[in-house]
Amino acid sequence: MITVYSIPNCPWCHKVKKYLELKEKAFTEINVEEDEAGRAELFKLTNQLNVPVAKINQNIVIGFDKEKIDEYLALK
Amino acid sequence: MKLLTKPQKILDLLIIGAGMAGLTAGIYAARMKLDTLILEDQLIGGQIIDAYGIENYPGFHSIKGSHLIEKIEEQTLHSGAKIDEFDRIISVKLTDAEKTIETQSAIYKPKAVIIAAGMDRRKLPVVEEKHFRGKGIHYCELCDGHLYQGKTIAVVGGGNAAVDAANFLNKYAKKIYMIHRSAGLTASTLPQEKLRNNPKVEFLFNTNILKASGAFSLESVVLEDLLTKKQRILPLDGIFVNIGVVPKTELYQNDIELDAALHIKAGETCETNIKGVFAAGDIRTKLIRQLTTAAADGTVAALLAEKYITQKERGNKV
Repeated sequence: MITVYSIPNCPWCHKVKKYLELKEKAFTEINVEEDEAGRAELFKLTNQLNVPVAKINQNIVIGFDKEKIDEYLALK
Repeated sequence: MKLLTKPQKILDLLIIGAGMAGLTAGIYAARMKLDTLILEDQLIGGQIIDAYGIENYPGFHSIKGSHLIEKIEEQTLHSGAKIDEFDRIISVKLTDAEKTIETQSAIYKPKAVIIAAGMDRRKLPVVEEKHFRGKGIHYCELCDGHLYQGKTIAVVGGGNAAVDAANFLNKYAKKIYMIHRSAGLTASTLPQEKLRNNPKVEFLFNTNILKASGAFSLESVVLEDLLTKKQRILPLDGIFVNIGVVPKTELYQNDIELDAALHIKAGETCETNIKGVFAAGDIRTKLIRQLTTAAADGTVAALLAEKYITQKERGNKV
């Protein structure tokens, strides 16, 4: 399961989502600018509120990090 | 170079960078039926992405940078050029006879190359910068501005990018300090007026940041008044840095001649010291750096790249 924590108009958030789409991976998106529970969840996960953050199963990727995304997508 | 297992790809034209110059070059090249690939490992659009309202690009009274670039990207793809924004260049070897660009996933052997890689934001020159990057020191207000709802922040810089950033961040912050080394702003009149009329904004001119401090994230900075040399501590939750840009030329410095400011030496024809390698946009030595001049460079570079390829294939001396 993949969750992307993002905000609207954030170009790096857009890039993470575009990459997951290219890889044909379904994901849930949480807009932390509007979703307070999602914002709290993001802080609990990463101890910060920078976006984008991708949660791939239980693994966290902060920012757009292609190598880490690929690595975590490859894990079963 | 690690040349063992990666596929080798031969193509007509490789364009490095998908900003205004690179995309324009892509449109022209693809329309001339060159097999064209544009590589971009950051954001398509480059510096334009951060522009909130562009009012000097022909065809639009005012357009957001991200909207303008969406249109140009779509036009580039429609023209037939390919864009890869998920691969990264590892090494480059450029000679008159051969051009080799190794990325994470392939080795490209193009007949001609246009370097339109643009510029990187200059980092805040304090030793604590790396420690606080993303934890109080930021370079993308669109991405990180939301972190500072009701907080006290500073924007460092005095040009258009800094003033635009401060005007944008106004919707989040309760207080904004504009910190600039010079005696005044150099931004365009209209956005500057908007900022000057904002009661939340306090201007700290002739001021330098010497040090950043905080337990986990940024909590304060040490400022120096450049006129009196007095220092003081200013509590801050965040800093957005807009103090100029530096050319992204590190990959090419072994093969391509650079000027003292690290721009690629190339004149109006965009030709570099290597035959078949062109430099377009802000990365090139030039007096005026605007979207329109970047588009002009992309045009010139693509047309001359096509001429170079055609002449070479005919066996003429180029």
